[in-house]
Amino acid sequence: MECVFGLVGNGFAIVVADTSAVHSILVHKSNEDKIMVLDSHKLIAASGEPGDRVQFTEYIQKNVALYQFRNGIPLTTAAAANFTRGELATALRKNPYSVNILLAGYDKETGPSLYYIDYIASLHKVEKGAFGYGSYFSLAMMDRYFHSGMSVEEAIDLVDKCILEIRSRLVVAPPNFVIKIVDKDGAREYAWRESVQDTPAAPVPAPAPTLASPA
Amino acid sequence: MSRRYDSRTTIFSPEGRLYQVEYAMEAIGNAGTAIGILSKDGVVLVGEKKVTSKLLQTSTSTEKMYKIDDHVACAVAGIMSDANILINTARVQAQRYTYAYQEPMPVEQLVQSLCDTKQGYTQFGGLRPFGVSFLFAGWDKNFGFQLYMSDPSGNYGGWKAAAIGANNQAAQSILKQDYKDDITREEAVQLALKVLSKTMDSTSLTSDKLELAEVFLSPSGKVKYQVCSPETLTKLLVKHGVTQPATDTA
Repeated sequence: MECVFGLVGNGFAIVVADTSAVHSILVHKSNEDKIMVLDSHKLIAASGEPGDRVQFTEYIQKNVALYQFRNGIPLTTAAAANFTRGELATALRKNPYSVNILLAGYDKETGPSLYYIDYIASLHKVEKGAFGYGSYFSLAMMDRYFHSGMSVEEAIDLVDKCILEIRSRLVVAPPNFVIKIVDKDGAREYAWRESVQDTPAAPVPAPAPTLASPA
Repeated sequence: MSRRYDSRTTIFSPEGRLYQVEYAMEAIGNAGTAIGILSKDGVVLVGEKKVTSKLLQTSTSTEKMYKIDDHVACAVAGIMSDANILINTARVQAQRYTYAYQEPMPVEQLVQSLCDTKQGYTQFGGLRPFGVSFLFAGWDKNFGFQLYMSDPSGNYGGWKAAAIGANNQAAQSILKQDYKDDITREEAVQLALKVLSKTMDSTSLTSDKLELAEVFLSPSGKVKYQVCSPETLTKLLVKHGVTQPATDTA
Protein backbone atom coordinates (compact mmCIF):
# COMPACT_ATOMS: atom_id res chain seq x y z
CA MET A 1 0.00 0.00 0.00
CA GLU A 2 2.97 2.27 -0.45
CA CYS A 3 2.20 5.56 -2.13
CA VAL A 4 4.77 7.61 -4.00
CA PHE A 5 3.95 10.43 -6.39
CA GLY A 6 5.54 13.58 -7.77
CA LEU A 7 5.23 16.46 -10.19
CA VAL A 8 7.25 19.21 -11.87
CA GLY A 9 6.38 22.87 -11.37
CA ASN A 10 7.83 26.22 -12.29
CA GLY A 11 11.50 25.91 -11.44
CA PHE A 12 11.02 23.05 -8.98
CA ALA A 13 10.01 19.42 -8.63
CA ILE A 14 8.11 17.91 -5.73
CA VAL A 15 7.97 14.28 -4.62
CA VAL A 16 5.69 12.86 -1.97
CA ALA A 17 5.90 9.49 -0.23
CA ASP A 18 3.96 7.79 2.50
CA THR A 19 5.90 7.13 5.69
CA SER A 20 4.61 3.82 6.96
CA ALA A 21 6.92 0.83 7.33
CA VAL A 22 4.69 -2.22 7.18
CA HIS A 23 5.30 -5.94 7.69
CA SER A 24 2.25 -8.11 7.03
CA ILE A 25 -0.45 -6.69 9.30
CA LEU A 26 1.90 -4.78 11.57
CA VAL A 27 2.92 -1.16 11.11
CA HIS A 28 6.48 -1.00 12.40
CA LYS A 29 6.66 2.76 12.28
CA SER A 30 4.74 5.59 10.68
CA ASN A 31 7.56 8.07 10.17
CA GLU A 32 9.85 6.16 7.79
CA ASP A 33 11.48 8.58 5.31
CA LYS A 34 11.37 7.00 1.88
CA ILE A 35 12.69 10.00 -0.01
CA MET A 36 16.46 10.00 -0.09
CA VAL A 37 18.53 13.07 -0.87
CA LEU A 38 20.72 11.75 -3.67
CA ASP A 39 22.97 14.79 -3.86
CA SER A 40 22.62 18.51 -3.36
CA HIS A 41 20.04 18.84 -6.15
CA LYS A 42 18.44 15.43 -6.52
CA LEU A 43 15.83 13.40 -4.69
CA ILE A 44 14.97 9.71 -4.97
CA ALA A 45 11.51 8.68 -3.79
CA ALA A 46 11.42 4.91 -3.67
CA SER A 47 8.79 2.30 -2.90
CA GLY A 48 8.98 -1.47 -2.78
CA GLU A 49 10.65 -4.23 -0.79
CA PRO A 50 12.07 -2.45 2.25
CA GLY A 51 15.47 -4.18 2.12
CA ASP A 52 15.84 -3.65 -1.61
CA ARG A 53 14.65 -0.07 -1.35
CA VAL A 54 17.33 0.98 1.12
CA GLN A 55 20.06 -1.16 -0.44
CA PHE A 56 19.49 0.04 -3.96
CA THR A 57 18.98 3.73 -3.24
CA GLU A 58 22.05 3.84 -1.01
CA TYR A 59 24.04 2.09 -3.75
CA ILE A 60 22.95 4.72 -6.26
CA GLN A 61 23.62 7.52 -3.80
CA LYS A 62 27.16 6.33 -3.12
CA ASN A 63 27.92 5.89 -6.81
CA VAL A 64 26.64 9.37 -7.55
CA ALA A 65 28.88 10.72 -4.79
CA LEU A 66 31.85 8.72 -6.13
CA TYR A 67 31.37 10.20 -9.58
CA GLN A 68 31.46 13.67 -8.11
CA PHE A 69 34.60 12.95 -6.09
CA ARG A 70 36.38 11.38 -9.05
CA ASN A 71 35.45 13.95 -11.65
CA GLY A 72 34.88 17.18 -9.78
CA ILE A 73 31.49 17.71 -11.39
CA PRO A 74 28.07 16.37 -10.38
CA LEU A 75 26.02 14.11 -12.60
CA THR A 76 23.06 15.70 -14.34
CA THR A 77 19.63 14.44 -13.35
CA ALA A 78 19.28 12.72 -16.71
CA ALA A 79 22.63 10.98 -16.36
CA ALA A 80 21.80 9.84 -12.83
CA ALA A 81 18.41 8.55 -13.98
CA ASN A 82 19.94 6.61 -16.86
CA PHE A 83 22.62 5.20 -14.60
CA THR A 84 19.97 4.07 -12.11
CA ARG A 85 17.92 2.48 -14.85
CA GLY A 86 21.02 0.72 -16.16
CA GLU A 87 21.72 -0.81 -12.75
CA LEU A 88 18.15 -2.06 -12.45
CA ALA A 89 18.34 -3.46 -15.96
CA THR A 90 21.59 -5.30 -15.27
CA ALA A 91 20.21 -6.80 -12.06
CA LEU A 92 16.90 -7.66 -13.67
CA ARG A 93 17.94 -10.93 -15.24
CA LYS A 94 19.86 -12.14 -12.23
CA ASN A 95 18.73 -10.71 -8.90
CA PRO A 96 16.09 -8.07 -9.61
CA TYR A 97 15.53 -5.23 -7.21
CA SER A 98 11.85 -4.78 -6.32
CA VAL A 99 12.08 -1.00 -6.15
CA ASN A 100 10.07 1.66 -7.95
CA ILE A 101 11.65 5.08 -8.15
CA LEU A 102 10.71 8.64 -8.87
CA LEU A 103 13.91 10.63 -9.36
CA ALA A 104 13.52 14.40 -9.15
CA GLY A 105 16.31 16.84 -9.79
CA TYR A 106 17.24 20.38 -10.69
CA ASP A 107 20.00 21.22 -13.18
CA LYS A 108 21.19 24.74 -13.75
CA GLU A 109 21.10 24.41 -17.52
CA THR A 110 17.85 22.51 -17.94
CA GLY A 111 15.78 23.30 -14.85
CA PRO A 112 13.67 20.81 -12.91
CA SER A 113 12.97 17.28 -14.15
CA LEU A 114 11.23 14.12 -12.95
CA TYR A 115 12.02 10.55 -14.00
CA TYR A 116 9.77 7.53 -13.56
CA ILE A 117 11.84 4.34 -13.16
CA ASP A 118 9.99 1.15 -12.35
CA TYR A 119 11.32 -2.12 -10.99
CA ILE A 120 11.75 -3.68 -14.44
CA ALA A 121 13.91 -0.78 -15.53
CA SER A 122 11.50 1.29 -17.59
CA LEU A 123 12.59 4.90 -17.74
CA HIS A 124 10.35 7.81 -18.61
CA LYS A 125 10.91 11.51 -18.24
CA VAL A 126 7.57 12.81 -16.96
CA GLU A 127 5.89 15.90 -15.60
CA LYS A 128 3.83 13.89 -13.12
CA GLY A 129 4.12 10.30 -11.97
CA ALA A 130 3.00 7.89 -9.27
CA PHE A 131 3.52 4.33 -8.00
CA GLY A 132 1.45 1.93 -5.93
CA TYR A 133 -2.27 1.58 -5.28
CA GLY A 134 -2.33 5.25 -4.37
CA SER A 135 -1.40 6.03 -7.97
CA TYR A 136 -4.96 5.25 -9.06
CA PHE A 137 -6.09 8.21 -7.03
CA SER A 138 -3.16 10.59 -7.24
CA LEU A 139 -2.78 10.26 -11.01
CA ALA A 140 -6.49 10.91 -11.44
CA MET A 141 -6.28 14.06 -9.34
CA MET A 142 -3.17 15.21 -11.15
CA ASP A 143 -4.72 14.55 -14.55
CA ARG A 144 -7.62 16.76 -13.49
CA TYR A 145 -5.75 19.62 -11.83
CA PHE A 146 -2.14 19.61 -13.07
CA HIS A 147 -0.88 22.16 -15.56
CA SER A 148 2.66 23.05 -16.62
CA GLY A 149 4.51 25.67 -14.65
CA MET A 150 2.53 25.54 -11.42
CA SER A 151 3.73 27.63 -8.50
CA VAL A 152 4.82 25.96 -5.25
CA GLU A 153 1.53 26.92 -3.58
CA GLU A 154 -0.55 25.49 -6.41
CA ALA A 155 1.55 22.32 -6.45
CA ILE A 156 1.25 21.80 -2.69
CA ASP A 157 -2.48 22.35 -2.99
CA LEU A 158 -2.61 19.60 -5.61
CA VAL A 159 -0.44 17.35 -3.42
CA ASP A 160 -2.89 17.84 -0.56
CA LYS A 161 -5.81 17.00 -2.83
CA CYS A 162 -4.04 13.76 -3.79
CA ILE A 163 -3.31 12.89 -0.18
CA LEU A 164 -6.94 13.52 0.72
CA GLU A 165 -8.12 11.19 -2.03
CA ILE A 166 -5.70 8.46 -0.96
CA ARG A 167 -6.71 8.79 2.67
CA SER A 168 -10.40 8.70 1.98
CA ARG A 169 -10.57 6.11 -0.83
CA LEU A 170 -7.75 3.60 -0.30
CA VAL A 171 -8.77 0.78 2.01
CA VAL A 172 -5.53 0.56 4.00
CA ALA A 173 -4.42 4.06 3.42
CA PRO A 174 -1.14 5.18 4.99
CA PRO A 175 -1.83 7.89 7.54
CA ASN A 176 1.30 10.02 7.13
CA PHE A 177 3.20 11.52 4.20
CA VAL A 178 6.44 13.42 3.70
CA ILE A 179 6.82 16.08 0.99
CA LYS A 180 10.24 17.04 -0.37
CA ILE A 181 11.12 19.70 -2.91
CA VAL A 182 14.11 20.34 -5.17
CA ASP A 183 14.80 23.67 -6.88
CA LYS A 184 17.72 25.95 -7.66
CA ASP A 185 18.50 26.20 -3.95
CA GLY A 186 18.79 22.46 -3.55
CA ALA A 187 16.92 19.41 -2.35
CA ARG A 188 15.20 19.60 1.01
CA GLU A 189 12.26 18.49 3.10
CA TYR A 190 9.23 20.66 2.57
CA ALA A 191 6.60 19.37 4.97
CA TRP A 192 4.97 16.38 6.65
CA ARG A 193 1.27 15.58 6.52
CA GLU A 194 0.51 13.54 9.61
CA SER A 195 -2.86 12.24 10.72
CA VAL A 196 -1.42 9.77 13.22
CA GLN A 197 1.42 10.76 15.42
CA ASP A 198 3.57 8.82 17.85
CA THR A 199 2.36 10.63 20.91
CA PRO A 200 4.59 10.21 23.94
CA ALA A 201 2.87 8.09 26.60
CA ALA A 202 0.96 10.33 29.02
CA PRO A 203 2.59 10.22 32.47
CA VAL A 204 0.63 7.98 34.82
CA PRO A 205 -0.49 10.16 37.74
CA ALA A 206 0.51 9.06 41.20
CA PRO A 207 -2.33 7.18 42.96
CA ALA A 208 -4.46 9.45 45.21
CA PRO A 209 -4.05 8.84 48.92
CA THR A 210 -6.91 6.76 50.38
CA LEU A 211 -8.56 6.84 53.85
CA ALA A 212 -7.26 3.36 54.63
CA SER A 213 -3.57 4.34 54.48
CA PRO A 214 -1.84 4.08 57.84
CA ALA A 215 -1.29 7.36 59.64
CA MET B 1 74.79 -0.47 -15.19
CA SER B 2 71.24 0.31 -16.21
CA ARG B 3 71.06 -2.71 -18.51
CA ARG B 4 70.03 -4.97 -15.67
CA TYR B 5 66.91 -3.00 -14.98
CA ASP B 6 65.48 -2.27 -18.33
CA SER B 7 64.26 -5.57 -19.65
CA ARG B 8 61.39 -5.84 -17.20
CA THR B 9 58.80 -3.11 -17.57
CA THR B 10 57.43 -3.37 -14.11
CA ILE B 11 60.46 -2.71 -11.98
CA PHE B 12 62.25 0.46 -10.99
CA SER B 13 65.93 1.08 -11.55
CA PRO B 14 68.07 2.02 -8.55
CA GLU B 15 67.79 5.64 -9.61
CA GLY B 16 64.03 5.36 -9.54
CA ARG B 17 63.44 5.29 -13.29
CA LEU B 18 61.22 3.08 -15.41
CA TYR B 19 63.47 2.40 -18.35
CA GLN B 20 60.91 0.73 -20.58
CA VAL B 21 58.64 3.72 -20.30
CA GLU B 22 61.50 6.03 -21.19
CA TYR B 23 62.48 3.85 -24.13
CA ALA B 24 58.89 4.01 -25.33
CA MET B 25 59.12 7.79 -25.30
CA GLU B 26 62.33 7.50 -27.32
CA ALA B 27 60.45 5.55 -29.96
CA ILE B 28 57.95 8.37 -30.21
CA GLY B 29 60.76 10.85 -30.69
CA ASN B 30 61.35 9.34 -34.10
CA ALA B 31 57.75 9.60 -35.23
CA GLY B 32 56.11 12.37 -37.20
CA THR B 33 55.38 15.56 -35.27
CA ALA B 34 51.89 16.43 -34.19
CA ILE B 35 50.86 19.82 -32.84
CA GLY B 36 47.68 20.84 -31.07
CA ILE B 37 46.53 24.39 -30.37
CA LEU B 38 43.54 25.45 -28.27
CA SER B 39 41.68 28.53 -29.45
CA LYS B 40 38.60 30.40 -28.30
CA ASP B 41 36.35 28.76 -30.86
CA GLY B 42 37.95 25.41 -31.47
CA VAL B 43 40.96 23.12 -31.27
CA VAL B 44 43.38 22.66 -34.15
CA LEU B 45 45.43 19.49 -34.69
CA VAL B 46 48.20 19.30 -37.27
CA GLY B 47 50.34 16.26 -38.05
CA GLU B 48 53.37 15.51 -40.17
CA LYS B 49 52.94 12.44 -42.31
CA LYS B 50 55.93 10.14 -42.51
CA VAL B 51 54.55 7.80 -45.10
CA THR B 52 54.33 9.81 -48.30
CA SER B 53 54.14 7.63 -51.32
CA LYS B 54 52.06 8.26 -54.40
CA LEU B 55 50.85 4.68 -54.10
CA LEU B 56 49.20 5.30 -50.73
CA GLN B 57 45.40 5.36 -50.86
CA THR B 58 44.93 8.64 -49.06
CA SER B 59 41.26 9.19 -49.65
CA THR B 60 40.08 6.59 -47.18
CA SER B 61 42.64 6.62 -44.43
CA THR B 62 44.26 9.08 -42.13
CA GLU B 63 47.65 8.50 -40.61
CA LYS B 64 47.67 10.94 -37.73
CA MET B 65 44.12 11.99 -36.86
CA TYR B 66 41.35 9.81 -35.50
CA LYS B 67 37.84 10.45 -34.25
CA ILE B 68 37.14 8.89 -30.87
CA ASP B 69 33.55 10.06 -30.44
CA ASP B 70 31.38 12.77 -31.96
CA HIS B 71 32.92 15.33 -29.65
CA VAL B 72 36.53 14.10 -29.24
CA ALA B 73 39.33 13.48 -31.71
CA CYS B 74 43.01 12.74 -31.33
CA ALA B 75 46.35 13.04 -33.08
CA VAL B 76 48.92 10.28 -32.58
CA ALA B 77 52.67 10.07 -32.61
CA GLY B 78 54.51 6.79 -32.31
CA ILE B 79 53.98 3.17 -33.26
CA MET B 80 50.85 3.07 -35.39
CA SER B 81 49.80 -0.45 -34.47
CA ASP B 82 49.96 0.41 -30.76
CA ALA B 83 47.95 3.53 -31.48
CA ASN B 84 45.20 1.53 -33.15
CA ILE B 85 44.70 -0.59 -30.07
CA LEU B 86 44.49 2.42 -27.81
CA ILE B 87 42.20 4.32 -30.13
CA ASN B 88 39.84 1.38 -30.14
CA THR B 89 39.99 1.21 -26.35
CA ALA B 90 39.20 4.91 -26.13
CA ARG B 91 36.26 4.50 -28.48
CA VAL B 92 34.85 1.66 -26.42
CA GLN B 93 35.27 3.62 -23.20
CA ALA B 94 33.45 6.60 -24.71
CA GLN B 95 30.54 4.45 -25.86
CA ARG B 96 30.38 2.59 -22.56
CA TYR B 97 29.97 5.90 -20.78
CA THR B 98 27.25 7.02 -23.17
CA TYR B 99 25.53 3.66 -22.72
CA ALA B 100 25.40 4.15 -18.96
CA TYR B 101 24.63 7.86 -18.79
CA GLN B 102 23.09 8.71 -22.19
CA GLU B 103 25.41 11.69 -22.42
CA PRO B 104 28.75 12.28 -24.13
CA MET B 105 31.73 11.42 -21.94
CA PRO B 106 33.49 14.51 -20.59
CA VAL B 107 36.81 14.88 -22.41
CA GLU B 108 39.03 14.76 -19.36
CA GLN B 109 37.34 11.62 -18.10
CA LEU B 110 37.99 9.92 -21.43
CA VAL B 111 41.64 10.93 -21.37
CA GLN B 112 41.98 9.83 -17.76
CA SER B 113 40.35 6.50 -18.49
CA LEU B 114 42.71 5.80 -21.40
CA CYS B 115 45.70 6.90 -19.35
CA ASP B 116 44.66 4.52 -16.58
CA THR B 117 44.84 1.74 -19.17
CA LYS B 118 48.31 2.89 -20.25
CA GLN B 119 49.46 3.05 -16.63
CA GLY B 120 48.49 -0.56 -16.15
CA TYR B 121 51.12 -1.57 -18.67
CA THR B 122 53.80 0.11 -16.59
CA GLN B 123 52.94 -1.63 -13.37
CA PHE B 124 51.69 -5.17 -13.93
CA GLY B 125 51.29 -7.88 -16.51
CA GLY B 126 54.86 -7.91 -17.73
CA LEU B 127 53.85 -6.40 -21.09
CA ARG B 128 55.71 -3.52 -22.63
CA PRO B 129 54.17 -0.04 -22.55
CA PHE B 130 52.44 1.42 -25.61
CA GLY B 131 54.79 3.43 -27.78
CA VAL B 132 52.28 6.19 -28.48
CA SER B 133 51.68 9.74 -27.37
CA PHE B 134 48.34 11.39 -27.98
CA LEU B 135 46.95 14.86 -28.37
CA PHE B 136 43.25 14.78 -27.53
CA ALA B 137 41.03 17.60 -28.78
CA GLY B 138 37.42 17.82 -27.74
CA TRP B 139 34.49 19.80 -26.43
CA ASP B 140 32.12 19.17 -23.56
CA LYS B 141 29.52 21.25 -21.81
CA ASN B 142 31.49 21.47 -18.57
CA PHE B 143 34.73 23.01 -19.79
CA GLY B 144 34.19 23.84 -23.46
CA PHE B 145 37.12 23.23 -25.79
CA GLN B 146 40.02 21.30 -24.33
CA LEU B 147 43.39 19.95 -25.42
CA TYR B 148 45.16 17.13 -23.58
CA MET B 149 48.51 15.47 -24.13
CA SER B 150 49.28 11.97 -22.87
CA ASP B 151 52.40 9.82 -23.02
CA PRO B 152 53.33 6.13 -22.56
CA SER B 153 53.67 6.48 -18.80
CA GLY B 154 49.98 7.27 -18.51
CA ASN B 155 50.58 10.85 -17.42
CA TYR B 156 48.42 13.49 -19.01
CA GLY B 157 47.99 17.22 -18.83
CA GLY B 158 45.68 19.89 -20.17
CA TRP B 159 47.42 22.26 -22.55
CA LYS B 160 46.80 25.47 -24.45
CA ALA B 161 49.30 24.34 -27.08
CA ALA B 162 51.37 21.16 -27.23
CA ALA B 163 53.59 19.13 -29.53
CA ILE B 164 54.51 15.46 -29.66
CA GLY B 165 56.79 13.39 -31.86
CA ALA B 166 59.99 14.46 -33.61
CA ASN B 167 61.38 17.88 -32.68
CA ASN B 168 58.59 18.37 -30.17
CA GLN B 169 60.79 20.41 -27.87
CA ALA B 170 61.65 22.88 -30.62
CA ALA B 171 57.99 23.08 -31.57
CA GLN B 172 56.95 23.55 -27.96
CA SER B 173 59.35 26.48 -27.47
CA ILE B 174 58.11 28.25 -30.60
CA LEU B 175 54.56 27.70 -29.42
CA LYS B 176 55.43 29.16 -26.04
CA GLN B 177 56.69 32.32 -27.69
CA ASP B 178 53.94 32.83 -30.20
CA TYR B 179 50.77 31.55 -28.49
CA LYS B 180 48.31 34.16 -27.28
CA ASP B 181 45.45 33.36 -24.93
CA ASP B 182 42.67 34.81 -27.07
CA ILE B 183 43.79 33.26 -30.33
CA THR B 184 41.07 32.49 -32.87
CA ARG B 185 40.76 29.19 -34.71
CA GLU B 186 42.05 30.70 -37.94
CA GLU B 187 45.07 32.18 -36.20
CA ALA B 188 45.65 28.83 -34.51
CA VAL B 189 45.72 27.09 -37.89
CA GLN B 190 48.23 29.64 -39.10
CA LEU B 191 50.40 29.24 -36.02
CA ALA B 192 50.29 25.45 -36.24
CA LEU B 193 51.35 25.44 -39.87
CA LYS B 194 54.09 27.95 -39.17
CA VAL B 195 55.50 25.94 -36.29
CA LEU B 196 55.36 22.72 -38.27
CA SER B 197 57.16 24.29 -41.22
CA LYS B 198 59.96 25.38 -38.91
CA THR B 199 60.39 22.04 -37.21
CA MET B 200 59.92 19.69 -40.12
CA ASP B 201 62.99 18.39 -41.81
CA SER B 202 61.80 18.89 -45.36
CA THR B 203 62.40 22.17 -47.14
CA SER B 204 58.84 22.90 -48.14
CA LEU B 205 55.43 21.93 -46.94
CA THR B 206 52.99 20.39 -49.32
CA SER B 207 49.55 19.12 -48.55
CA ASP B 208 50.51 15.49 -49.01
CA LYS B 209 52.97 15.71 -46.12
CA LEU B 210 50.46 17.06 -43.64
CA GLU B 211 47.17 16.35 -42.01
CA LEU B 212 45.06 19.13 -40.53
CA ALA B 213 41.95 18.64 -38.43
CA GLU B 214 39.77 20.96 -36.41
CA VAL B 215 37.25 20.48 -33.62
CA PHE B 216 34.72 23.28 -33.42
CA LEU B 217 31.03 24.04 -32.94
CA SER B 218 28.73 24.31 -35.93
CA PRO B 219 26.25 27.22 -35.96
CA SER B 220 23.59 24.87 -34.61
CA GLY B 221 25.75 24.11 -31.57
CA LYS B 222 26.84 20.59 -32.50
CA VAL B 223 30.48 19.58 -32.18
CA LYS B 224 32.14 19.04 -35.53
CA TYR B 225 35.38 17.25 -36.30
CA GLN B 226 36.66 18.09 -39.74
CA VAL B 227 39.75 16.86 -41.53
CA CYS B 228 41.02 19.33 -44.07
CA SER B 229 40.90 18.13 -47.66
CA PRO B 230 44.18 18.22 -49.61
CA GLU B 231 42.92 21.00 -51.87
CA THR B 232 41.89 23.22 -48.98
CA LEU B 233 45.13 22.43 -47.23
CA THR B 234 47.20 23.49 -50.23
CA LYS B 235 45.31 26.77 -50.38
CA LEU B 236 45.91 27.35 -46.69
CA LEU B 237 49.60 26.62 -47.04
CA VAL B 238 49.93 29.13 -49.83
CA LYS B 239 47.81 31.68 -48.02
CA HIS B 240 49.95 31.57 -44.89
CA GLY B 241 53.14 31.59 -46.88
CA VAL B 242 54.58 28.37 -45.55
CA THR B 243 54.82 26.55 -48.81
CA GLN B 244 57.17 27.19 -51.64
CA PRO B 245 55.30 26.52 -54.87
CA ALA B 246 57.56 24.52 -57.17
CA THR B 247 57.60 27.25 -59.85
CA ASP B 248 58.91 29.90 -57.48
CA THR B 249 62.62 29.33 -58.06
CA ALA B 250 63.20 32.03 -60.63
